[in-house]
Formats: sequence, C-alpha cells, structure tokens
Amino acid sequence: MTTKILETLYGVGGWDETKPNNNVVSQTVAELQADGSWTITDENGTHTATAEELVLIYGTEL
Amino acid sequence: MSYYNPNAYGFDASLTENVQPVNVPAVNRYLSPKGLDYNASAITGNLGIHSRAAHIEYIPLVVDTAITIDRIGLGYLTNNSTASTWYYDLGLYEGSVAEEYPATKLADFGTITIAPATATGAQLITINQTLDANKLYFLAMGIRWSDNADFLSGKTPFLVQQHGNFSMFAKRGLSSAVSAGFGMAWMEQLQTYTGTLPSTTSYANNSAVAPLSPRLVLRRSA
Repeated sequence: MTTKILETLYGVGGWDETKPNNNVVSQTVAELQADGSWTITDENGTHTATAEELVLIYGTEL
Repeated sequence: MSYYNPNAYGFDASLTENVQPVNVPAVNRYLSPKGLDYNASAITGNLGIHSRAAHIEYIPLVVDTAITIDRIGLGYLTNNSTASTWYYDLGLYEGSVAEEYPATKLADFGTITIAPATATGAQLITINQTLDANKLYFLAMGIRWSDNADFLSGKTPFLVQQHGNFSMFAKRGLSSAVSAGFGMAWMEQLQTYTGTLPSTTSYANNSAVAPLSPRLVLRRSA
C-alpha cells in the first residue's frame, strides 16, 4: 500500500526528543487506491482526492 | 464579524501591505502573514530554500478580529537532498509601532524539526494563543541546524515560502546599490543564533532583511 503523510502534528512545545515519538501526537495520511485516487483520513473524516487535488489542497508533491 | 481597517494605527498611506490587518478565516481554517506565496507548484531552486545561516526572522502580522489560534506551523515540501537536521523555533512578539519592529516576546511555541528522514507535509505545533484585533505582532522563527553540511553545500529543505517587497522595510532605506529587495522579515542574530528567542529586542539588534521567508500558518480555533 502506498501512503503519503500530509500533516504531522506535534503536541504543546513542539518537537521534543525526550518524549515518545518526539512529541508527535497525530499524522494525517493519504492512501493510494487502485483507481489512482487517494483516500485521506483526517479530523474531518475520510474523503477522496485526486493526485492533482492533493497538490492543490495539501501542497504535496507526489 | 470581520472588517477591513486599512489604517489601524493611524499611520499614513505609506504604511504598506504587510502591516495591514489580515481578514481572519472561519474557525478551523488557516491564515498566514501578508505576502506572495511560493508553494508546492512554484518552488524550484532558490525559491524553495530560505537563508541558510543560523538566524532569527520576524514576520509582521496584524489580524482584523480578535481570535484564538490552536496551531502554528509550516509547509515542508521536499527534502532537497539535505543531510543536516534543521530546527525552527517558533514564537510570538508584541511589536513596537514606533519602531515597526518586534519588542517583547509573548510566547515560545516550540520547535519544528526537519531531519533527512522527516515525512514531508504540513508540520504543526499545538498551541493556545489569543490575538487581539489590529495589534502589531511579529511571528518569530529561529532557524538553526545540527551541523553545517547543508549550509556549506547551499541547501535547505524546500519549504512553502512567502516573498515580500514591502515599503515598511523600504522606509529604512537600502544600505547599498546592490542590496536585495526589501523584505518579508526582519533578520536578527545572523550567523550567531543558537536556539533562544530573546525576551526583548529592538531595531538596534537588526542584522538584515529577508525578501523570502518560510510561510508560517496559524489555525483559528475561536
């Protein structure tokens, strides 16, 4: 499965090497589907985007 | 309700776009300082990198409505074959209207770290900060690195950038005929910054201006 991390959210204080996983509290991940679209799960739920939309909305180079 | 006040400080018409109030977005949406964006579709070469020396950048921000923000961050686009670990210390200052320069630190928001293995995408820190309407703030970004490998090879990670040529800086005048354009951000502690944003500062500490600066975004929560 091809995945792409769109967003990494750190907890209060930002990056911290003394905390588990360096204080990363969540990540938004897109998964490539068989039809070429991407399924994104974030705080607004699950939705589908084309590769072009990923670039436009998330500023992500694929 | 949002409104536009182009002359919030009673400054004259020469006061420019980057200290005009930003119209705030709806809750859970993001805002950024005034500037021309260079995002994923635009970055190549020098448009994607920022100043490589260790330094602090101060980017002016005025919002037109009192809001609370719960995220601050930046857009990390591609690695650009970097080998060093980069640190971005983020903070907020209250500005001096008389100096058009940051004065007093209000908050340290923490550090975003971009190592060679860090996943690209939005890099955000959880915060809780109120912003008053029509008040001059400066977002602070202290940039430093683990070692000078990338610095010596002319690289930084590719980030979403903003470009500005604002006469807030032109007002100070160019230092020479070959000086670069005016700027997006004030620069301080150029080549000497080691990781602590100062509790107070003034224009006397200014090193230079940055015409291109990583774009910081803030998410409105209330």
